Amino acid sequence: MSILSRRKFLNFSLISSLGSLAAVIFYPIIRFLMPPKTPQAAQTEVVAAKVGELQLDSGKIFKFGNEPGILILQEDGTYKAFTAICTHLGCIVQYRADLNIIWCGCHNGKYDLFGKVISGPPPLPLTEYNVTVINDNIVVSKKA
Amino acid sequence: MKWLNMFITAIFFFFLYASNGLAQNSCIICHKKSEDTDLKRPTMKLADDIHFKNGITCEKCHGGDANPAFQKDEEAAMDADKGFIGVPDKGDIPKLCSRCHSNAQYMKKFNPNLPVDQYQQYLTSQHGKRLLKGDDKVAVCSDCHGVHNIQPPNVITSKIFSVNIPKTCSKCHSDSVYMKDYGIPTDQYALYKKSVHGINLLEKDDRSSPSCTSCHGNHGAYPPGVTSVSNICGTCHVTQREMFLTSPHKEAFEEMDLPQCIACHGNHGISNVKREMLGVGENSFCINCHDEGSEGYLAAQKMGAEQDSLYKKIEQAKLLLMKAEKAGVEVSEGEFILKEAHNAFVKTQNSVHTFSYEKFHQVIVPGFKTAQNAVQQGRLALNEVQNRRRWLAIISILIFIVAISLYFKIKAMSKR
Amino acid sequence: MKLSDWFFDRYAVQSWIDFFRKKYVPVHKHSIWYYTGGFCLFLFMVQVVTGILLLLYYRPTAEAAFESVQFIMTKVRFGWLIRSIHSWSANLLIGALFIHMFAKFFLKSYRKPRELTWVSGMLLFLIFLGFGFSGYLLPWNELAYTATKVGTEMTNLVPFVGKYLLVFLRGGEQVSGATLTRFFGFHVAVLPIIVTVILAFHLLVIQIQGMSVPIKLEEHKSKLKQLPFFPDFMLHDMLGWLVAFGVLAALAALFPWELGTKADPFIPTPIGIHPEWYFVFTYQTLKLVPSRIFFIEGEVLVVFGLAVGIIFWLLVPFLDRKSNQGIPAKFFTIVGIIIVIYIIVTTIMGYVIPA
Repeated sequence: MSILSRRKFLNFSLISSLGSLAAVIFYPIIRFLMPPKTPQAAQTEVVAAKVGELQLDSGKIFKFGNEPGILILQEDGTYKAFTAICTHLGCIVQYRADLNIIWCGCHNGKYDLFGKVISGPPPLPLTEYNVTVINDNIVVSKKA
Repeated sequence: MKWLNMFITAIFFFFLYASNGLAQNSCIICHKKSEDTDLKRPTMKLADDIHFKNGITCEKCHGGDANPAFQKDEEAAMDADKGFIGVPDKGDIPKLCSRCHSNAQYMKKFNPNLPVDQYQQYLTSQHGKRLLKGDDKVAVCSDCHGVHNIQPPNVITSKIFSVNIPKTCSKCHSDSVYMKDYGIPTDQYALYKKSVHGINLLEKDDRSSPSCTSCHGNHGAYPPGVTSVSNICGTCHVTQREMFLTSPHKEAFEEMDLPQCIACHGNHGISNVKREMLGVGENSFCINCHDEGSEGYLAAQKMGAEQDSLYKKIEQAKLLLMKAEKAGVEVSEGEFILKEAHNAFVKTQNSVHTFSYEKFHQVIVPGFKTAQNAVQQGRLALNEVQNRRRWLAIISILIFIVAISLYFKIKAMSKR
Repeated sequence: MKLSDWFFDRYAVQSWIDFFRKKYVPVHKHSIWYYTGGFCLFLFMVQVVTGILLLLYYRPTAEAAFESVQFIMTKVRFGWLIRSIHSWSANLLIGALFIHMFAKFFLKSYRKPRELTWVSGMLLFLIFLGFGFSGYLLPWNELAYTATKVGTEMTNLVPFVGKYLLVFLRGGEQVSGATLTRFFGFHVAVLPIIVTVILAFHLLVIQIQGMSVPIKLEEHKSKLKQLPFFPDFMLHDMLGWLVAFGVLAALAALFPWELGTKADPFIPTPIGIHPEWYFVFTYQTLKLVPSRIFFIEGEVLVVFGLAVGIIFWLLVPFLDRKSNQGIPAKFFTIVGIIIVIYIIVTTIMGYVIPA
């Protein structure tokens, strides 16, 4: 191999490997710059539903971080939100329009619409969240 | 003017003296001074006593005359003609208390919500029945409520405050010498303390957890009958009761004289349910009745196996997600699904009380789906960790190639 | 016409290239230490790039800081990588600065005519410690919160102005959201501006004056082998940078920087708390010194001693008259060795001895 071609090869390998290294470095940076699917650190508040999504006197389970929450539209048109984790054995509670209560299907735990235990095995009330309606969104946030 | 002032002052002090009647009770004045501790004791904690606070003083129960004028005259103060009875006989105590406590008209003045049927209830209790037969070892009012320092049930130091009730009952019921004539066990308190109910009430201060009286009643304390056990447990554990009462076990247990819930879960020492209770394993309860090969045995076998496999699936998902989280991967979606899977598992265990494989199976199937979903999430998260390693491998190789080329380049240049 | 010609025609770039081509780096057995500075520079550049990237998602309030870092780590693609590299690189940078500083100290590179290079370098070192201290708090986790509380508490010991200094640093009496915003301001605006100015000066004087040669080799300077700064020395430098980058990538991918738990001002100080490793020696000194020496409080004495030490270190080129005359100063070498040993021993003690 002549010295010239050797030099050429060296330059080629240097430039091409440098180029691909740069690509491997820039790829994560460009991906980083693209905003992720959930464009905000949503740990203290979350859009639980859209206005009009819930019928009067009904409830909905929504995802709050990695925990389920329950949003209830009361008959008078006001919203209430609580953690949906039953304080007894950690089941997910639901809204019972027929009884006007929050109900846990696992062991028939019953909570009123202030989160307080009415009957059944739950030892503690459900934690209540703040609900604010911003434009079209029903935003649920943790109480300070 | 000066005289008028003095006169008014004198009248004022006279009324002050007269209105201060509670302290001016001849019983208390003398008993407080007494050097005999037995005579002095009743006066020592009077200030906390609900009766004393409401102006129900000594003579209302013991009779006699508490007029302070008699404080030097024992005979006159403790005159049997004035109804003085001294220390009441133990057997007379329920009747004595009921004089006021069964009088609705009278009790209203102090607490309109207080029941007035305690005496009637007491007469239906094992304690009351035995007392009527002349057994005065049984508990009367004062054994549970105290005597001269009676406190209402919402005071933490009260003997009948929910958290203190097991201790109060155990005073007699755990005393094997005292109880030896009755032929009942004395280990209830020891068992209860370690039970799920006992731990919740005594250690976690969960006051919704039952104490002795929640199941046995208080004034009407009586062991529940075999067929009424589920009514009592069912006051809290409603869904299980509903399922049990429509299950084939209801009649079968009645025929065999098995005490419903207690037959499997026990009573005072009840613990959290264990998976092994179901199925045909060593610690299974099913095989106590269902012989190998029978229909019930096969159902139990299937239910146990499905329950265990759901449990294992959830554990697997948990482990995968934990691993991924430790490696710094986002797993909130997976953890959310895991909570649903847990929910499904609790429902499955609940549905055991239908004692029907078909109904059980219907409940567990969606649980499997959720658990599988959680496992899937865990796998995806772990893949992410692999992706990171792959990125590292690629970049390391590239760095190596660049470094080598660079090295040779430098060498080539220094030759020139 | 080629684009490069167009450019060179208008700007005196060629003269710079010529300057670097004519600039030579002497080659001898201590040459290796010439690369420490470039190493620091590379890590600093990594910090600038990753720091700017993090800035796009970070939110400097007590309510959102922890959550936003968590968000970066979990939701933003490659966020874990960028944040881990930033944290790892910060620590490597401080370590590299220590090595760079002591190498130059023992080689007596600070002697005439490079006094101001040393002084500016020392200032850079102090500022980078400030970067470390302020950056540590930004994730607003429990460890950082406590470390900052203890760290800022130290300023209280400064006589006369301690109280004001403390309030200035914390933005109030207590470490709070105000402190976080303030530290954020220091970390991304105030310190970077200062660093840019001083670093520019530091690099400029190095380029103008060239590399220093150890005192013993000074006489044979003209006989030493020479390496052109451009491109040879720079390519050598790059080789080192590549290795550094590989190490960083491996550390970030295999040991992602942990986030811990969110700071809560109302829980008691957790046990076993200690500051970042580069502050451990001062922290340990505070613990070692008795609470009272004669009539002075021990802690005040430590702060006073530290201040004297830093001033001494800063003024070394002016105090070491022997080296300035070309005679190796044994005294300063011994002082340096004592300081290195002291820092190493107290740092190890800080980790080994239970709190």
